Amino acid sequence: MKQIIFILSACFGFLLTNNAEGQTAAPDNKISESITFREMPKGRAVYGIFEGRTPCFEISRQLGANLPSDCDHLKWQVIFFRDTLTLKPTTYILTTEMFGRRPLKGKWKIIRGTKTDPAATEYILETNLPGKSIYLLKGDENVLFILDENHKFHTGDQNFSYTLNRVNKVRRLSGQ
Amino acid sequence: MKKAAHVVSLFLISIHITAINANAQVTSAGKLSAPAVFMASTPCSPGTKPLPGIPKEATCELIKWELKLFGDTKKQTSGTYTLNCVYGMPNQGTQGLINGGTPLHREGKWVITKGTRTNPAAIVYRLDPDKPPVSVSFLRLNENLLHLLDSRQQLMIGNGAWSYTLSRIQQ
Repeated sequence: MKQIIFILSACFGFLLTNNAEGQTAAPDNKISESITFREMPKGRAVYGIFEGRTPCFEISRQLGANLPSDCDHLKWQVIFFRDTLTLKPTTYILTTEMFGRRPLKGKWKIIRGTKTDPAATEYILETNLPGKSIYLLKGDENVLFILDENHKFHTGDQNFSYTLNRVNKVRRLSGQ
Repeated sequence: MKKAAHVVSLFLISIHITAINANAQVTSAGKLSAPAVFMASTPCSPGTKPLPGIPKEATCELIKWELKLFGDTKKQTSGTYTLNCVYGMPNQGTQGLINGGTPLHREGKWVITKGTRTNPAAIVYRLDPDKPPVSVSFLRLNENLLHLLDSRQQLMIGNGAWSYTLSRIQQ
């Protein structure tokens, strides 16, 4: 009798925990290529390049940026640099429409553990905007989530989220 | 043997009752509970299969999602869902799809499971857990955000334009 119960429980548990076969197979979940027409930094000094598109106004309020009222979305590109020997964070370059597409440059650092999640990892981008930093939660090596000033998630809309994805920049000559 | 059959029957009945309760969409006050609605625009490519039901040969670069989870997502660990998507090629300069895209509709059950390979505390919403070939899983980031997972429960990687995060829309 115990055996029957064990088998039934195991079958039921398997049903609930079995991997979803209907989803993208892990080997096909790859970093996307992103076309660029200019030379991009590369090599060991680059930790990664992340891009995404977010809604306009929540994040511009947070960072004190002025945007036109017809702003539809913001394009983000963050290039993270690191020390080539220690691999520790050094500087970053952030490009968005928020600052007239003038790159925002500064230092970045990694902190581990937050008030609500001791296992969380955040990247903090220090800016020259008074009292403003940009907080990014590490989802994993390839996905980052933009946080608010209280280190909480922003909620996106039906078109855009506050997620940045690692990309491989591929250079194309213009007209190619 | 008779006793064993009795125990097995009780076990199956308890599963059945759990399933019935989980699928209830009516509150104790008799009112229909409003679903949690999550929406997103996500990538789609020949190499990825973010959503079962899209033919492999389909031209698809963008999927627009509307996922409704019925049942109290704060209190219940299961319920029912409807998923309405349109997919196809993006209409440049707009947020829409060329010719409106191709519609895709699914409905069924959702359950919450706990833990992924890298995070034992993670909460995962799984659509159609009883149908592995079409089952789809999302990581719950918070009450307003879900992120699509791959077959090994890793975060789906978006591209420079779209991500795989679904946002809750207040309706």
